Amino acid sequence: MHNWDVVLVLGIVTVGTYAFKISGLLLSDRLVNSGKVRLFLDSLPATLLISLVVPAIIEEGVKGLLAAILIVWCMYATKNALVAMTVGIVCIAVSRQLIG
Amino acid sequence: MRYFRSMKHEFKDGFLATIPISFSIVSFGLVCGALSVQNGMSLSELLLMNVFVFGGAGQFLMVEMWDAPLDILGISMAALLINLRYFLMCMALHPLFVNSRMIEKLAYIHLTAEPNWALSLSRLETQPTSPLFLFGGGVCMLFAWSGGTISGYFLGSSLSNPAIYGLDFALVAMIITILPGMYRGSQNWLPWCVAAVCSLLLKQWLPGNLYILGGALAGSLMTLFPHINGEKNA
Repeated sequence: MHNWDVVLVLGIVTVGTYAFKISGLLLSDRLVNSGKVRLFLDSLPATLLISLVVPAIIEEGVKGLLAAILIVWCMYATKNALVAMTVGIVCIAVSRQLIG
Repeated sequence: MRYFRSMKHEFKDGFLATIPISFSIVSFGLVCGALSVQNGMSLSELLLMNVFVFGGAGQFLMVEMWDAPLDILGISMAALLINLRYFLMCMALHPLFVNSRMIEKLAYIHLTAEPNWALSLSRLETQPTSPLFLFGGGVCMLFAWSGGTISGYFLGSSLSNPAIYGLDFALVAMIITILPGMYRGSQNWLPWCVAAVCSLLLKQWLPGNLYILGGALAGSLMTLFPHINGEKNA
């Protein structure tokens, strides 16, 4: 393939992705003084995380739900994120071996 | 003014906090690197992509679509669609950059991806956090991803599937540990539930990972209804 094609693809994706990131940050700087927008912005981290994990858990089915419950329980019991995360990953790995 | 331990510590803390999730990043880097050889990508192209595109999902997609002749428009549009979520994610980073100069914003925002983004916002819940924490996490991920992809490039496809070890669940597991710390009270119920339901539904209909963007937008828009956040406004 042509070298310029590679440069063009990488260039478009690089500039575009960076533009998404910096424009999101700068736009929120502008908007944050409005009370309503502030509530919207404040809620974004959690809703983004939920939109990322809920479909992933449900797609995994019973294994995913079991792992999620175990992680929350571990977090509650040990207050250690690393332990909870490891337990969740091991739970998924083992249940995939057992259930398929 | 906010107090940070020190700039050097912030970078180091961010770097160290990202190490656990980096095991998963390395494993996917290995697969991505091996795939890039199969699809005729050169090492220099792979390295440029690691540094400049920076985002696992987008890079995976680009490597998968990498074929001669290069479909310039197709690959670019597909990768940008995958990365559109960064717009909303970086909007949410506002509190992290509140005391930053423009040059810092321009420099540190580039190495933003889900793991260090989530860790930074989670840390911000309990202590003052600077953008250097985010950046330190980003550098750690860059090392992990580059180490993984370069190893995968030379070791080839003899590697096994990270899914066997549950490593594809690492990011999800990390986020589940973070979410409870973001709960503020009953005013969160509606936005969170709407985000959950909408992301699930949109996943059936929307291409790529646009469901993340759609679910989050739908959920967060719920905060604009005043009767729901009455107690927060008070």
